Amino acid sequence: MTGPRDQRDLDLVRRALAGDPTASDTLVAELAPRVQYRVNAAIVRRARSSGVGASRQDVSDLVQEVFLTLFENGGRVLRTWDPARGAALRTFVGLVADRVVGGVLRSGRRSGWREDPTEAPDLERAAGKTETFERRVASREELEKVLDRLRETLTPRGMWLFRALFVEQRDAAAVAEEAGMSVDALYAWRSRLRRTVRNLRAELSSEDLGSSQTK
Amino acid sequence: MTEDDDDYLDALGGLLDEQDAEDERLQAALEAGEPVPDVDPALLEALRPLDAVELAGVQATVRPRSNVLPFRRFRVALAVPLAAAAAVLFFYLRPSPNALPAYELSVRSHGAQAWRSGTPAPAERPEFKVGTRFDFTLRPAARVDGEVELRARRVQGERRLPWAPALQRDPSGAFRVTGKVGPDLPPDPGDWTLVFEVARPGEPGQTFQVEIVVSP
Repeated sequence: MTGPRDQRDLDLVRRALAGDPTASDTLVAELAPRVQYRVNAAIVRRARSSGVGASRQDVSDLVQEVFLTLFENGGRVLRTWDPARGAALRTFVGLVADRVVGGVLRSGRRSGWREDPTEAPDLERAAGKTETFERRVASREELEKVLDRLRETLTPRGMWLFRALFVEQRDAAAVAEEAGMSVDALYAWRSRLRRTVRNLRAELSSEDLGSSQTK
Repeated sequence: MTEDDDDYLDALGGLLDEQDAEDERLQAALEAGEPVPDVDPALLEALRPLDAVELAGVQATVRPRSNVLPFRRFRVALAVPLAAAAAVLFFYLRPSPNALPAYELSVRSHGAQAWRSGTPAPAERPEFKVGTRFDFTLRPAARVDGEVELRARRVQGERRLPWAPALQRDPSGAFRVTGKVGPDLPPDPGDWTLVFEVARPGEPGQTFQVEIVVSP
């Protein structure tokens, strides 16, 4: 279901990606506050957890990185926004920002736009490796790390589904309807999400182990 | 395992919910200009909303290529206020033979409002005091494909001296020159003209001239 605002945004996106410079400028001007909101939030989270600050130029560069991701390759990422699949444009762009900024802050550089493993059919192969992963009570620090990785890993659509199910705790049938998918497909997605999170925990555990061995 | 996994996902959802609330408090404090507990005020300053120059830079980075300089010569007045001093900048744009998009020069300095080309010119040269920071950004009106380089030099009267400041280039083809007067810009006092030329390698390009006064 889309409202007048969604239709207006959809038209603006289409004109911008069709090469209309005025529409492009308008879109950037309208979305920049949302993008910077997410950039600022990520920077402050990092500052609180690790004490690492950021300069004005860092902020400006990160905002630019997000827009580059949205517009590069003919707007490949921006074209995936579909208001009929749940998220409003600003929400979608905020989720893209979370993903891009998380990757840059962690690795120091922007990665290519990867496919969401919860959307990939061959994830089953990797899942078995995590069965021996030593289960333990999750510390807040671990949760924060896994959540950061999840932001980088899930596509905006995946993150929107995660929020709907596990933050807003909404009914699966209602989420599926809003997302334009069947309930069975949503359950299958949730199953893949579980495995993704298990894999992320295993990766972090391996990294922690490697880190302690090199100390 | 599934039950544990769901508990873990619920825990992640709860954490995300907490972070959302923290993010909203941060945004509200930033908009109100209020301090934020356990966040360095210097970091908060870096988080202020993008100004017009910064926004224009982002817009230029992703703007569809459509404006190529016509093959004619024109002159644009550029104004730059720095710290306490007003400034007058002039830059000249020449079309590049292989059609680089038009570049725009913007200047920022410590504690001063950012200015860029096309704004009214103040009455005096900008003063570059030793130890203060300078920040020049040259952004194309549209993304630049292929090689492009930025050349810089200093001119005082008949003296034409090379200048090799540290450059950063981003994927759009924009250049940024930052540093301090002294280590990054020779602190020779007097009137100077800083000349920047954006060009394809081995070819003439668009030239920007910034007239300044360097003071101890």
